[in-house]
Amino acid sequence: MNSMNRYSVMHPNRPASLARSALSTLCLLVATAVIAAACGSSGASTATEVSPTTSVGSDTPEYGASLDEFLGAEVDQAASSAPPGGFTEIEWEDLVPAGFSQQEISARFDDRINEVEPGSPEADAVYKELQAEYDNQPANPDIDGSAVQLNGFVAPLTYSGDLVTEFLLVPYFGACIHVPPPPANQTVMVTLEDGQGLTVDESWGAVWVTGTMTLDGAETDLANAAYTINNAQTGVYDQA
Amino acid sequence: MNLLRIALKSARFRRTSLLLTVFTIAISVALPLGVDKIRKESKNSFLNTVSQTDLIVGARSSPTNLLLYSVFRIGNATNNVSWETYESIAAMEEVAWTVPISLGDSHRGFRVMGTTGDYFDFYQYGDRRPLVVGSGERFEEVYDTVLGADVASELGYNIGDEIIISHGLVSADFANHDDKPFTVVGILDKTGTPVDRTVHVSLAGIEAIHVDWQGGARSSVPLTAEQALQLDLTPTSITAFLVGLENRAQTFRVQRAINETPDEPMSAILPGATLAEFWRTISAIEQVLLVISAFVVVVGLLGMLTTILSTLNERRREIAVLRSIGARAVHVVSLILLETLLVVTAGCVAGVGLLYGLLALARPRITRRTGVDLAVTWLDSTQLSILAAVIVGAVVVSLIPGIIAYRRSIQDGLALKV
Repeated sequence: MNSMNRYSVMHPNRPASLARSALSTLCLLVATAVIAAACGSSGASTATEVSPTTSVGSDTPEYGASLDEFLGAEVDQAASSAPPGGFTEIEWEDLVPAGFSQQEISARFDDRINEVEPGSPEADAVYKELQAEYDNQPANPDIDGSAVQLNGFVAPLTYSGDLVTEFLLVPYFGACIHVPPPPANQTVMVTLEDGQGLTVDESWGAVWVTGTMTLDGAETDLANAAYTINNAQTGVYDQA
Repeated sequence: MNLLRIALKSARFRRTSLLLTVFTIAISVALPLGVDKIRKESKNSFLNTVSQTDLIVGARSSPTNLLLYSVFRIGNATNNVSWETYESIAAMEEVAWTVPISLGDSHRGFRVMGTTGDYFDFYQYGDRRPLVVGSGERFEEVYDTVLGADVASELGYNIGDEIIISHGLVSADFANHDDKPFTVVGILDKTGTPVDRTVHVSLAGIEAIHVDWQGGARSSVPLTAEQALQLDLTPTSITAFLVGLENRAQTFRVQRAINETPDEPMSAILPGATLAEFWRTISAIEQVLLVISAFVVVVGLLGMLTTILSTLNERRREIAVLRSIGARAVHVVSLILLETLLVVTAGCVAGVGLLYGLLALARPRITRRTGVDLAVTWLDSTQLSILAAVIVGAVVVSLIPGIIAYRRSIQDGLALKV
């Protein structure tokens, strides 16, 4: 055993230990990345699990689809929420029957409002009547039985596991405390198809709902009828 | 196959450090799995506590507080609602049914809730599941009580037993309503909700035990149970009430009408929406827990890397011998890889075992303390992907010592060191 030999034993060790510490740092980064990827992948797998709302193939836009639709489809892939076709997209105003829009209702009161002194008790009474008419506006019978898509916000009612399965669909988010709440014809009672559901996080944003809209209790009293969509499909609405 | 045998035989000589590594991996795997499990189960049991109740009404307070005390029996009401106001809301034409509830007393640590028979008809949980009186019947008489499943099983009560209700929420001998015992007439089936931990009596029963309590203390001339029955036991106030509507599309209007009742300040909440809101506020904690457990996994893998790197020095000669008899780079690297795979797989299996062992041990205790039932179920997709990520991470990490081992010269391993 000579010094030469010893040198050859010792020497390769030093770069190795250097390399080792460099590699350890690298490995910390790799491991962190792996964990991050794992979290991401587990998140993604839950997303696919809880959003059986995708209709296969809806991710690819139709030939001739607008850029908006194309972008929407692209973004939606993660949330898997492109609404299925075959449903007429309606607006919240369509739920108001003819002659009952806010303008039309107030037009009917115009003469009487002009007659009374502003701020007088009579005026208050007229405004109260106007508000009552607005509150009790009936449902639109034309909508009954049509296959529609409606976008809105969710007030969860029933959960199955950790998914929302029944909810009220409303045109704006949260109950605004400053104005009277929406009339009954601006609220849709939605029951999802079996196996469907929105996660709590999904229910926080805007959603689309498709299904056949019916008027519950329409035969007894149109003013008290409730818009209902049973066996509905739903997904996250993307504004892109 | 041959390689596997070599790996196994080599590992046998370093079993202490490898066993410790297995144990480290086991713990670092059990933590994220456990966090994920608890997170999911608590979310489920939380969200499924009440359903088909359109509004919950109580004295003016925050929606969360109202939800917590009326449904979860956590915390206390800020005030009561007067019986007249309750009756006027119950009489609204939009209202289909109401169930009054009256809280504030306890029985040996379980909350006592005064209500009406309608509670058993209208209270639902989960996906529209009703309460079922499994044995016995509903309360009829003033001094009848129906127990939740856990109350009966934990305290060993049967139909016909007599129980004493305590004033306030902590049982102590000096504030018992011991002159007016209640008879157990029914026991509810298990629901997995706070109902299991509730003693149900009639509103008249709550009233009867309090008639001779004046000015916050028991009157010097107490009334007997029979005397109390002679009095008018219509309650003067209740703590909260559940409301079902004729038309759920009217929910927001009725909510507003109740919130704006001029006679009495009240809050009406949509239970489902409040549950979602509350869950979102506390889900930040669950994110933090997940991040922490991800770091624990990283630490576990680093621990494994350290062990393997340090055993490389012990294996220097072994690897040099292998190489001198013709082992190529792929053999050396895969030898290290195989060892890692063995260690990490054993660690994962041990971790899952540890998790289920702990679950089995802690389950009754957790259920008793929190009402959350940690059902022992097979690993779901999230948990399986956590395991997969750990194994993949370990394999990636083990490439480092594998390459280091190969890059060392044969001579380095074979030469004698002085």
